[in-house]
Amino acid sequence: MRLYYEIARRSFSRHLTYRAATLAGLATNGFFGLVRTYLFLGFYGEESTVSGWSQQDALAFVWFGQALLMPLLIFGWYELALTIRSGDVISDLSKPFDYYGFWLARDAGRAVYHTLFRSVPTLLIGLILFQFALAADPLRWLAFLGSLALAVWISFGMRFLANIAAFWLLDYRGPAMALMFANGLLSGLLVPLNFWPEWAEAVVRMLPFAGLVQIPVDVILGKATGAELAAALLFQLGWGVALMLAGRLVLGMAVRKVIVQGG
Amino acid sequence: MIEVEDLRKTFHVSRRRSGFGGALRGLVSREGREVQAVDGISFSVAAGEMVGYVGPNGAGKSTTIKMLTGILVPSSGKVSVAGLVPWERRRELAGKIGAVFGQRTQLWWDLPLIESLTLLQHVYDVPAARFNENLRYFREVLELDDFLDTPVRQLSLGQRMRGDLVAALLHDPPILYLDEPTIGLDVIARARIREVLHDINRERGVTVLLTTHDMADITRLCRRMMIIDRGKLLYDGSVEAIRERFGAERTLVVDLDESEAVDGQLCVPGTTDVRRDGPRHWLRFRRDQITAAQVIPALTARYRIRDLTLEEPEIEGIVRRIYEEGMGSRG
Amino acid sequence: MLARLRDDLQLYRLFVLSRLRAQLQYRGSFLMMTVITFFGLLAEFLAVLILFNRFGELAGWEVGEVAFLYGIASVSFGLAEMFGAGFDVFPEMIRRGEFDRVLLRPRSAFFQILSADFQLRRIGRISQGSLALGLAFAWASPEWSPAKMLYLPAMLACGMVIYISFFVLGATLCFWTVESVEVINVITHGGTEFASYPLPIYHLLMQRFFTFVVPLAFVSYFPSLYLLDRPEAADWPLALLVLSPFAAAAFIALVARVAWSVGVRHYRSTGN
Repeated sequence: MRLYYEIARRSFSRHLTYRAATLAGLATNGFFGLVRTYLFLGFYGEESTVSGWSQQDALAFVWFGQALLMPLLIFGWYELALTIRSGDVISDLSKPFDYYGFWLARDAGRAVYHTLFRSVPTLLIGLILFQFALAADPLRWLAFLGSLALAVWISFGMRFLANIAAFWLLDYRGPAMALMFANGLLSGLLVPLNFWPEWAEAVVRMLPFAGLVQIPVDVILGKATGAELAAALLFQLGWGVALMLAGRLVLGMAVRKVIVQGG
Repeated sequence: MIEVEDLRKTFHVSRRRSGFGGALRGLVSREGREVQAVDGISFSVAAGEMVGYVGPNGAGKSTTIKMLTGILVPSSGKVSVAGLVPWERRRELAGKIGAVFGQRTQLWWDLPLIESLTLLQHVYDVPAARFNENLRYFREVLELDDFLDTPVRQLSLGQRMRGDLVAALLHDPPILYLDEPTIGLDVIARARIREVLHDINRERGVTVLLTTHDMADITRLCRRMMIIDRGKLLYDGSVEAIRERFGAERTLVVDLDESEAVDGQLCVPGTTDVRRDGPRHWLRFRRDQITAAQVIPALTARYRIRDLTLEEPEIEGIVRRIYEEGMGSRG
Repeated sequence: MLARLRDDLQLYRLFVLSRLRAQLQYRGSFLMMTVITFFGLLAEFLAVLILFNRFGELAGWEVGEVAFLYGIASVSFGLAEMFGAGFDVFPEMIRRGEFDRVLLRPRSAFFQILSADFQLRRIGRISQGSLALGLAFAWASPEWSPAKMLYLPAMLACGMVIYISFFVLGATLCFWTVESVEVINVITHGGTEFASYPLPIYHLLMQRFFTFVVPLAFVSYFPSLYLLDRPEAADWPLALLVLSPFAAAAFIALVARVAWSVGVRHYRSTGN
């Protein structure tokens, strides 16, 4: 456990050095947040509540969505695929640690960095500009953090699968790019799922993507409480486990392929 | 062909500030220090000459070359290349020079070599007849036929270098700048490139300025060399004089066995022990007085040796020794 | 002067054609990336349609009309990405020291950079934008005239010029700092998002800023007022409305060109 903690800590510190990129990224998050805030205000117009969401809820959704982009790496991640391309993967696989755990630990360190240095400032920008209401209940924040951690795990599980496909594909970017676009729409980032037609919402709510943005935002907005909250967290946990098992299974196949063909 | 008079270039090195805010502040304020990259250099190169231009890293070589090509505007001084002031007539001059940078290619990475060459034909406006004639010539001397249709990314370093050489010469430039044209090549590829450079200089009368770390490039190709260090011209004269003075000197690096206890210097006839670091000693001798084949048995007869390496003189070493021992310019 | 421009354009065409040939050698990869980009961007457009399905209209604009704005912004940006992305990858060129090589050729540095990263797969975004435009015609069924038929492609070209100018301005930053040049994404990618919706939904300060300082409003909003016969068009003299996008494109292109020259001059005196 100690080893994985160290891996995560290193990954965290490594990201600390990208300060210029962080500021440029915050500017982008802030601008998109601004545009999307006015888009939703424009749609609401005189209405105060649509599909059970108030204007305040919609604004909070916009800024939480922007804040979650980086911890969840909605816009793509190719790091692992690149090590497969370069062949570094072989040395990583032969090191005396669990390969899946190694990458998960690195990703956890990165996610903590992004939560502190991208999510928090993005939310602050949104709050300063639009003063939307935030939950005051500490328990709700605790549930939100738990939900966010599970969301990172789900996101990692999907990214791991998309990246590991590079063992079989010539062009490693395809699956990761497809995942990025699916993330944007199906996670509820672009449009909250409760604004979707009911039949579509019912389908999408069952996919792992819903565990990325929609559920954490539902939790912090108090849309899921009591038994619903427990069900939501269990849903995330279930997908986290399922994706991890799938990831390990595919990893095993990849390792066998490497052993047979020597890469 | 190239006239340089009291050329100077001062860089303003600003204190590196980190972060975006730092970068923004860097845009407005001008803190930092001045660095004389090129500090009053004068020389002239006649048409058809092939001159070695050497010096340690950061000596000001590439800054000089950039000013001779017009990429960089000097702080002061006069330059005339092929009758033009480079930085005022960059585009016009560009048609009269060819350049090979060993570390970077000017070919298009994902195109077959022949297509890169055809594109360059249009870039330099080379008439078709002239282009075909030159291509025929280089195909023969550089043996390009095996890989003319191969994408550049798949070429070996030696093949790529040959491709870059053609690319630099297709438009018949009277002047050629070469920066490390043999870097990373194996012995055979090196020899072939040198041969071709020699022919090009001899048969086509191209004026060549050659920058390299490999002293052998210079001794095989050039009669004259210029040594630059810390922005100043340290030496401008014949390669022969340098070779006589330093080229004949070789150094044998000796690692003594642990069981061997020697206090002080090693005593081997015909050599001097010039440096010591723990069990490692540096023995210097002159090739014209004694051969390595004579030194080594004498050495092993006296001491228990674990390892031996023979060092060729390097540019850095020569520069260091010119400082130590002095060498009149115009040698 | 004009002859030189013609030569440069000729060379640009040659460079682009050769890059095209190189990319068609990897047809599978190209097809996959194009298809993924197309469907991915389609998903983004779908999000707008879902919102219209729930809310009905956006500040007095029908779904077809917003699809029109969206399509113009997307096609313009796609064209800019396709024909001018060399400036988008310029930071990388500077870092690798490749700009010196560009300056060593007897050709305009500007056109050499412009053609340095021609990517056919950008056709993914152009197709998505075209589809949005097609839907806009079907839903909004604007009244069409020969003048408008000429005006639409002209506006797409203006939009392209405006976006390429932003790329150039972003690249110009590299002459001073290679850090954080990603800020330009705010007005390129962010700008496309901005230009996809009607201008009046934004705060008045934003409206003014993106009209008079960063002329994004001329990419889609003002041309659409005329092309769709929106009632807002009556607020402006027709000639002003119709001609202003040309002026805006010419203005920002000039600013970008001058900034670029200043940048190159700075580079040639500091050499880094």
